[in-house]
Amino acid sequence: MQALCFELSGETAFFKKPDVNVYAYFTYSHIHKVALYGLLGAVLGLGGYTQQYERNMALGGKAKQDNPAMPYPEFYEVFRHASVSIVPHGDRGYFSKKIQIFNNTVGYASQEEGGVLNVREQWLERPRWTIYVADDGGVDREVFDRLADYVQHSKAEYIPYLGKNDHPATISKARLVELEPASEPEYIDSLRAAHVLVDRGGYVKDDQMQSYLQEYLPVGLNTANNGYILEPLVFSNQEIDTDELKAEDLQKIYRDADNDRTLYFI
Amino acid sequence: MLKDLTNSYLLAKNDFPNITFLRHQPKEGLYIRLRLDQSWNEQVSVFDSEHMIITKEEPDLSRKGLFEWFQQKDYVSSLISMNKAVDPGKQLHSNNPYTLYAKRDVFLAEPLAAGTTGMSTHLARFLDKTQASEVQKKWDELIGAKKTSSKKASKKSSTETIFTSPTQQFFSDTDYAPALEYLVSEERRTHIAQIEQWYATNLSALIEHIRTIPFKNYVKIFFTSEPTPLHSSMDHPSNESSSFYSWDEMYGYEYLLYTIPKIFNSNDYNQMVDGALTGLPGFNMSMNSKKPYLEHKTMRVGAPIRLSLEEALLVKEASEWLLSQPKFRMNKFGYHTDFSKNSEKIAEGYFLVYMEGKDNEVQDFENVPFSKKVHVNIRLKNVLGVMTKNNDGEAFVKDYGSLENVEQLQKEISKRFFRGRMNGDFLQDEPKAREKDFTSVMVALFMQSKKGFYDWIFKGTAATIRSQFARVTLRLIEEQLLRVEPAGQEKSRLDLRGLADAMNVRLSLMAYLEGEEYTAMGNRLIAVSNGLKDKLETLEKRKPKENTDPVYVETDDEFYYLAGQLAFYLKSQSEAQQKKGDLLGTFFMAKRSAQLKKRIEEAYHLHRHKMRLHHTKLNWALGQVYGYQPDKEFQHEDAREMFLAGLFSDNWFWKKGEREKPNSEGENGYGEEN
Repeated sequence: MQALCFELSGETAFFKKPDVNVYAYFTYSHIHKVALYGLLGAVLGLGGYTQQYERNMALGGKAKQDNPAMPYPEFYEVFRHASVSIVPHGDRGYFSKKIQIFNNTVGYASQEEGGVLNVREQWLERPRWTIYVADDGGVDREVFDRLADYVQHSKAEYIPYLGKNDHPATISKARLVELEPASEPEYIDSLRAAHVLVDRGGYVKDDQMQSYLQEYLPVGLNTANNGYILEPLVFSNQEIDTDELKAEDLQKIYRDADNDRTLYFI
Repeated sequence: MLKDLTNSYLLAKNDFPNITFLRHQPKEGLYIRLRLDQSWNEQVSVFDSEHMIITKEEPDLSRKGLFEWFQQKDYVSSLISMNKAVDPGKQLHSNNPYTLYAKRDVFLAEPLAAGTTGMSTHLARFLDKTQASEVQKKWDELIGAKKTSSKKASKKSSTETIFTSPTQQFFSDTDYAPALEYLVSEERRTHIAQIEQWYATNLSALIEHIRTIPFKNYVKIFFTSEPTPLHSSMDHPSNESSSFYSWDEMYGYEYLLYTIPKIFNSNDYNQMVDGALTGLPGFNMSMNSKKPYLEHKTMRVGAPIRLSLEEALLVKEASEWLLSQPKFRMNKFGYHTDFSKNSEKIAEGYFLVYMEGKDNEVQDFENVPFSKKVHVNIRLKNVLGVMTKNNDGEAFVKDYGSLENVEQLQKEISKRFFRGRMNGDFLQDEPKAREKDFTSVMVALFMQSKKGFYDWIFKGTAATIRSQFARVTLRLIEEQLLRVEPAGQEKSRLDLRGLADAMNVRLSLMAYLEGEEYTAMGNRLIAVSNGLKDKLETLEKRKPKENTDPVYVETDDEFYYLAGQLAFYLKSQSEAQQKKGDLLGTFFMAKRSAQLKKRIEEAYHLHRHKMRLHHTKLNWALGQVYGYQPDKEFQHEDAREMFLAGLFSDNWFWKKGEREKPNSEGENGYGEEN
C-alpha cells in the first residue's frame, strides 16, 4: 500500500481537552485524528468550523433551520474515512508539557471588571511526529493526489498549525512510501487501539526504559453536535501480544521497511 | 482527562463497591438518628446511643457501626453544591425530607415570636420543595419537558398512572424508573406527612435538648423507623408491616431523585444524542455568562463537552474520590494499580494530578507514560581534578561518589545550585529572593528550570532539562560566585571550593544527560588542563639561558583557562579582610577578550608588590595572556566556562613556601603541599 509520509513538528502545540475549563485547559498528549484532519484540510484549503457555522447559522447566531445544512465541517467530511498512522517521537513518545499563562485583553472575551480574561493552557513542547496518510481509498483519489502534491512541494492554502494558530506546524521530509502488510509484528511504533495488548513477558524495544501511554483520544465527530468521539489509544515500546491479535487489527498493521517501523493505522 | 480518570475509577468501583461513601468525610457536627414512629419523649432515653459528634479527628472505634451508618446516609443526603440546594432559602442543607441539615446557629436560633421559630419556617419551606410535584418539576426540566399532568399523577400512587408524564415515559426503561415510581408512592407521601407532624410536635423539645450539647458547625438529623437500621429490612422486618421500601432503599432513591436532575452543570446545554440524554458535566467545568468564550462560539458543539447521565454520575463519583485525595501536592495514580485490587504486573503509566484544596480545582494534570518509580545511578566525576586532604594532611584527588537514587539527585541539585531551595514537591514553589543568599537572578533561573528538573526527578525523563541544564547551571554557579556568601565559607581567603564541587557535579550531570562518559566540554577541560600543565612543567625544567623553542598558548580554551588561573592567583593576593567571590566581579564585567586582558593587567598592578620577580610560570602566563588574540570573545558561554574552570581548578602559581594567609594549606586551599 502506498502512503503519504511526512514529519510534523513545531516549537509548541496545544490540542485542547474540552472536559475541564475552570482553572486551566489541558492538552492531549499527541495530535489526534480530528486535529490532523483539520491540518490536512488547511493544506488543501477546505472549510473548517467557521465556514460550517456561517453556512448553518444566520446572522445573529440563530440556526437557519432545524437540521443543519452542513452536519460536519468540510475538512471532516472529506477526510473522515482516511486511515492515518501517528508515530510519536520525543522521549519514548513523551513530550514535556508546561502550563502557559497569558491574558486575552480584546475586551469582549471577559465581561468582568477590567475586561481581562486570564487563560492558562498546557502546551506540548517541541513535539514531533511522523505522520502516514494511507492511500487506501479512504479519501478520494483526486484529494489524495492533490494532498500528496501540496505536502511534497510545500504548498498550503492556509497555514497549518498544531491545534491552535499560536503554534505553526513544520511539515518536512514529505515523501510517498510503499508499505507492506506486517505479518508478524513485534513492536508497534505508532499510536494504536488499546485492545492490541502488550505481551506481559515481552521485551522493551532497544533496551529503553519502558513506556506505556494510554489515553482517550478523539477519533471522530458525532453527528448530533460535532462532539468528539473518544477511543482509548496506546503508545508503548513494549512488545505486543501477537497471539491476541485479531484479524481486523492485522489488516491495519503495516511495515515501513525503509524506516524500520511498524505502523498501526487508526 | 475525565474520561481517563473515570475509566480507572471504574476499576476501583468494581473492586470496592462501597468506595463512594467509604471515602466520604462527613463534615463536623452533631449527627442524630431519630425514630419517626416515636415521639421525642419516647426516645430521649436512648439519645446517647443514637447520636454522635463528628469532628475532624478519627471517629471512636467502638462506635464505628454508628459512624458508618451516618457516613453512608450523609453521603446520599448531601448537596452537590450550595448552588444546588433544595431549600430556596439555603438555610437547610440536606437534599431529602428524611434528613435535616442546618448550621448550629440556624438550628438553635432564638424563637421569633410566641410559638414560631425560625426553624419551623425553614422546615415548612424545605419540605414543600421535597414534595413529589416539586421534584417532578426538576426532572421535567432535565429533559426539557413542558409541564404536564405530572402533578396529577403524583397525587396518585397506583403504578398504572406513573407513566403518564413524558419524563416518566422517558425514563421508563432506565435504572431511574424505580426511583420515579417511588417518588409518587403513597408511602413517600405518608412519610413526609409524618415528618411534618413529628417536627410540629417535637421540634422545640429537641432544640432545647440540643442546646445543652457542645459541638461545632452542623446539626444533622436522620429519620428512620427501623430499630436496627444498620441491617437491611429483610433480616429485621420493619415494625411498619405495610412498608414496601426499606429505609436504605428510600435513602438511595432520594439520592437519585435529588442528584439526577442536578447532575449537569446547567440544564441549558442538555441535548439528545442517539436517544440518550447528554449534558454538560459539573466537575471543573463552568459556563459563565461573563466569560462568553468558555462556550465554543463557532463550533456546532457549543458546550465544550456533553456526557450521558450515567457518565455524569460516574464523573461525580470519580471527582469525589479525587477530592478525597491529598490536596496541594502532585498525586500519582497508576492507570490500574492505584485503583484495582488486582495489581498485576502489567505495563502502565500514571496520572499526575494536582488539586487545589479551596475551590477543588484541578490545577495540573498529566498523563505520564513511565513507571512511577524513577531510577538513576550517576557517577559523579572529578573533571576539574580537584584535590583534597585527609585528616593526616595527605593530599588525594577528591572522590564525589555516586548518586544512587532520585532523592540523592534532588538533594545534590538543590544543594549545589539552588542553595537548598529545591525541596520536596517543588513544582508549585516560588522561592523568595534574599540578598547574598538567593538572588533574584537565581529565583528566575529556578522558575525557568523547575519544570525540567521536576520532569527528571519525578517522571524520569530528561527530555525537558537536557536542553537547558548546561546554561542554567553555569549561570547559577556564576551568580553564586559573585553575589552569594555561602555560610561556613572561610572569608579570610578566597575560597571557591564549594563552587568547584558544584562545577564538577554540573559536568558529571551534563555527561549523564548526554549519555556519555564525559561531555565535550569535560573532555576539553581535561585536555586543556593537561596541556597547560605540560607546558608549565617544560618551562620549570628548562635551564636558564637554554636556547629552546618557545612555549605558547595555542587555543582559545587555553587562553581563557589560563586567564582564570591568573585571575584567581592575583585576586587571592588581596589584603581585603573578607575575600569573597565579588573580588572577581571585575573580570566578569568584561565582554570582550581585550577587556579581560585589561582587567588582569589592573589586578596585576594592584598586587604586583607581592609578586616575586622571577616567578617563571606567572611571568610566562601573563605574557601569553597578553600576547594571544582569541577568536571567541569573553561573552561566549564556552569562554566563560573555561574561565570558571580555570578559577576553580587547583592553582598552579602558588610556589613552595608561599601561603595564602592565614590558612596554612597550599594551593587554593586544597592543593598539593608546596
